[in-house]
Amino acid sequence: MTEEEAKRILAAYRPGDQDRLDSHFAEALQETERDAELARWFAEEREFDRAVAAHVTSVPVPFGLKTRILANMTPRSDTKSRWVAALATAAAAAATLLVLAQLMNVWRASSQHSASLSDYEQEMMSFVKLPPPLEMESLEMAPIKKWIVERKAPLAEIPPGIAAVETMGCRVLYFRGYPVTLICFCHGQTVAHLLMVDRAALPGLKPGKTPVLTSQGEWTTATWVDQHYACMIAVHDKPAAARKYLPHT
Amino acid sequence: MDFEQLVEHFYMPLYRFALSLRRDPCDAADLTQQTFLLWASKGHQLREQSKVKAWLFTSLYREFLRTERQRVREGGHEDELSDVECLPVAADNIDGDAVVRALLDLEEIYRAPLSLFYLQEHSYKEIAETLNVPVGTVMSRISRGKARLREQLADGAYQNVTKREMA
Repeated sequence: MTEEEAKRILAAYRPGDQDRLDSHFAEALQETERDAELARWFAEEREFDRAVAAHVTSVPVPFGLKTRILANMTPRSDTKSRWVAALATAAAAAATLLVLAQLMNVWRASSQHSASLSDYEQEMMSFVKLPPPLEMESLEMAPIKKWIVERKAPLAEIPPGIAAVETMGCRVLYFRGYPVTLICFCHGQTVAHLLMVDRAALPGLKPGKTPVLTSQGEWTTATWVDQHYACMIAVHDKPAAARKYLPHT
Repeated sequence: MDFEQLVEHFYMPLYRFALSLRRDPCDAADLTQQTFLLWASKGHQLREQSKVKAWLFTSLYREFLRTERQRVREGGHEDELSDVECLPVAADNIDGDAVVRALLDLEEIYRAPLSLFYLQEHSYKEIAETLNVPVGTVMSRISRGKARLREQLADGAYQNVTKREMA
């Protein structure tokens, strides 16, 4: 084995020593014991690799990504659920639907105890900071409302201040099993996000039409509750910019 | 391993791999989420639980190729014959943001294997399976990719990259 061949092989030796038992590296590693220059090169290579790996494995992951992943899909596919799914397929459709409905009620009931307004705001902020693709795009509100109604997604009264702004589109997200309607508005360089969820998703939230403004870094959120829905506007701007979209201001 | 455990265990390395491919945090997050969506719809077909990691990384890479095929075709020409001078870069002089920036600036044929290598989740054989290339090619790309990474770090152009640019 030449020195160049040994280097090429050893370059793929992971910095964390995970490959120490891999026979593929054995001969090249033995070469480092015979060849002082190769040994020096390998030591420097490993030092470099450890430094780079430390940086690569600590690249920050966007806040809320895990929540977003979990919230946007239905968990399944472990062995147990596959087995249950197979049985369910074999069972009568009516019985299956009944069981699923009961499970959903239990799940929702248990979720209700843990969901707080703070949880909701944080999770929704994680969505809008990493803008999810819109399911429906339109510059007009009427087709957006029609799309939402057809899906039986939450649709509260839209404050005139934001209803006057040009729309971009909408989609449905999920928070602890509850659908959340997201409508995006484009006002110059600012994108305003209106999120609406059934009040039942946030137990303990008292109805109040007066929006509560909160600054989150460079973002502002405003939350209010009407008879049926909790509404939140999130804008990447100062509170003054958000106020013009709100009801009763 | 249930679904939430699966996400908990893999979403960070998958995101970092996705970031190395897409080079944009939002796109990387979408690609990561898309991978778990694929798992939710097709993962039950996997018989061997020990292959979950390989399935996820391979699916993410295939999804990247599927959506970026045109860009890969235009940008990924491997220069097998060119030698890259291996420049000395002291490990304690490496700036973290500069490293990541330099890695993201490599051509995709080096970026993908090198990212998997530095994430340390995959052996060179597993990298070959994930990227669907021969083992020898993976080893060459890791070796050449490192040389290019050192070259970029040595020229100093990456030393002033701020964390905000990387975020």
